[in-house]
Amino acid sequence: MEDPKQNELLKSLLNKSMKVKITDGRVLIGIFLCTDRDSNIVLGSCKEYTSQSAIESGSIEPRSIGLSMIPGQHIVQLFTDESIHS
Amino acid sequence: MSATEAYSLYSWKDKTSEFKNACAQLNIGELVKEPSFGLFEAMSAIEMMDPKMDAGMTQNQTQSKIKSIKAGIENNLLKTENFGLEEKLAIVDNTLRNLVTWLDGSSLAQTLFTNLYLHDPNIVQDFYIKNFSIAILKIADHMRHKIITSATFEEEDFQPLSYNFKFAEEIADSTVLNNLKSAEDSSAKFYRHLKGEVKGEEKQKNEVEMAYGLWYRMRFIRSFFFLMSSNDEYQAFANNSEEITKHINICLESLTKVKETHELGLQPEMIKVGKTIYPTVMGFEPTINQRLLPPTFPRFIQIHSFAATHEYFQVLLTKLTELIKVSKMKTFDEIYDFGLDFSEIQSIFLRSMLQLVILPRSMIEKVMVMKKILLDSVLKFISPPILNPKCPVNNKEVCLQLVDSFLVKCTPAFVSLFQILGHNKPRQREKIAHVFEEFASFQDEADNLDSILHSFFVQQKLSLVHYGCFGSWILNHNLTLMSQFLISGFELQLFAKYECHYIYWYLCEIIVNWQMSTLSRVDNFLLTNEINFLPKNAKKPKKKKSVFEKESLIKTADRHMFSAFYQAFRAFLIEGLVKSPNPDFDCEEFRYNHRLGPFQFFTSPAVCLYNQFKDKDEYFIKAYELNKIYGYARDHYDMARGIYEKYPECANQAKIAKNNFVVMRLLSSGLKKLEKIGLDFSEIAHFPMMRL
Repeated sequence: MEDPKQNELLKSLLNKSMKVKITDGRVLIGIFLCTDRDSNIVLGSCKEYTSQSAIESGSIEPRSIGLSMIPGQHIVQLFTDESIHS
Repeated sequence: MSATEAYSLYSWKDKTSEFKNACAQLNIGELVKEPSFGLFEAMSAIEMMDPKMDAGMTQNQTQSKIKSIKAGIENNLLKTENFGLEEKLAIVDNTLRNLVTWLDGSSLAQTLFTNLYLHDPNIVQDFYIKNFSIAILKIADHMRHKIITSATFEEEDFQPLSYNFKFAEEIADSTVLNNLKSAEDSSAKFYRHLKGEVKGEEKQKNEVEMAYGLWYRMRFIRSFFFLMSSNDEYQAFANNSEEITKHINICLESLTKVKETHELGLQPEMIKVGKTIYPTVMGFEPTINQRLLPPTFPRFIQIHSFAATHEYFQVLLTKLTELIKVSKMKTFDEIYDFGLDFSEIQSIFLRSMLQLVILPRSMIEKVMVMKKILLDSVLKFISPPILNPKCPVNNKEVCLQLVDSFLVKCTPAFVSLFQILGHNKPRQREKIAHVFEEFASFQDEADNLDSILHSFFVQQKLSLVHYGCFGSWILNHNLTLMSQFLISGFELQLFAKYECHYIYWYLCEIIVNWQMSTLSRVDNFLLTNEINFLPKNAKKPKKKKSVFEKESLIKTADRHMFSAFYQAFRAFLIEGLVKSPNPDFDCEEFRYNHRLGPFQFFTSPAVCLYNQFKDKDEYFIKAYELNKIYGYARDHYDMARGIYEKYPECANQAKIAKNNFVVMRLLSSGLKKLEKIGLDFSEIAHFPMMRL
């Protein structure tokens, strides 16, 4: 059965920044727009970093890829932004 | 704000399992989505980890060893000095291969800039590789500018995007040229030194050969740089042709030596990235720029082989020599004919060069030069009496002004027509159809001008004639454009076989007929005015040979050919040798109008309507039996052959006419019934060879 609380959680994340690590090690940061039962995610204004360490060192500029869809099966880790300005 | 700083503003919290749980609760097909996010947006999203869409995936999977030139040097994956000779040769050759691949329509990021040294040539310590790299950057920049300036490329020809790469702008061309000169000199010295020392061991001999190769590579790049670095081809080719020829010859000579010594250099390792195979030597990293490419991009390219590269340069240099000739041409027709042949070549760079050599870069100068060309063309074609210095008309100033303003009106259209020649063939056809309207309007302008000038002559009781002067010139020009437009349809294989008959009919009955009558009118015009210019008591000159004798004769032969093809294709249709489409799904009138629709703007000759064509067509096929129609075609082929054989340059046409004559004779005799007819359009696209 559908749990209204869970649905509320997903809805509260809409239009917030989200960071997703995918199976080949790349990290994607973008605005969470849409998801479904298989946790396929659509991120808007998405930036692609080659790895987590690349973000921290700042050595490589991210690549803007715009709107992107990440299949649920390729999601390794998923973070939401808890900072005040969000 | 840098990317790192921006990133530090976030405070991330891992929600993986919560999120996945929440998702799992959704029903099948249920979406949680931002209200404004619709299916339309969803269509344009790129799917991560899908090899067809995800460019970043390729780079991450191949795990390119070198992430940037600096990192490469730090990790000792990249030399900046102490190159072996074989490495130097390989770097040069591989760079040239990438340069050519780029010019053939691939992106800079996937080709030339996979060479890391080009990202920052100043970091390189080695004198030769450093100067070579700077020269290549400069050459690429110059070539790019030339192509962009001439504005004759489409997305299928060339990718002008520079991805913010630096093209060594801070170094002046003259400095580069000086450095290349000293690189050439010192490489020559090095070779002679090595040659003096060698004692005959095999390994040493190889060294000497490689030094020789390096010398000629430096020599090549220096002369090539000289050729590319000009910013005013119009002046350079017209006034400085000797120096250009000299450098072209040096390039060609060096190129053969480069080819001879290519095998001595390190042979590239073939690295496969996605579907593309990149030849890679030290200093190259195929996926270094992958992240610069837009998300969806044709990622499959083919780097030219060394042999293809060699041929590319050879063609390029030989064609540049031809351009020296064209810069001496005076009339528009000559230039246009040359340009038509020239535009057959694939290379966008050469097509741009043609534009820059004929017309200067600035629009104002362009118009001035084109006006001069047009004036020369009119003079040569019909020598208008008003432009004759002996012309006795009183208000000459006014008349000349009228002529001038007419030419000024025409000029921009001719400039754009010439620019169209720089495009590739299919685009040319499309664009020419767009300028028809403008050229059609010049007909009225020219006729008006002629009648005004003539009325002046009549008022002043001069015996000179000015009717049909500028008018005939424009008419002849427009007819040529029309016939080219139809013929280019054959070249591009646009016409189905069951369409050919009305195209041939139109060419024969309308276009070539008008052309021939125009030429004979011009002939009479020239003769009349020549007599009129003579002093009153002078003897009349004997009727001379026509100025257009050869042209008219070849036109006559063409007319016979078109006529014969019309008859033959008509007969094939009746006999079913050429299949016509199912009438339920077909409308010939519609096709006819589509093919000839672009001519609707012309008033002389006005486009022939479908029912007019159909009347004549039906009258013709009803009046004669099949054998008779074949017989007519046979006779026309025979007459065409007779004329073509007089001119050696028409040997191909003569061969086809003769061959088709034999086929027609057989068919007209009725002795043989055919099941199938072979048509070979390969030799001359608009004159197919018939085979039994």
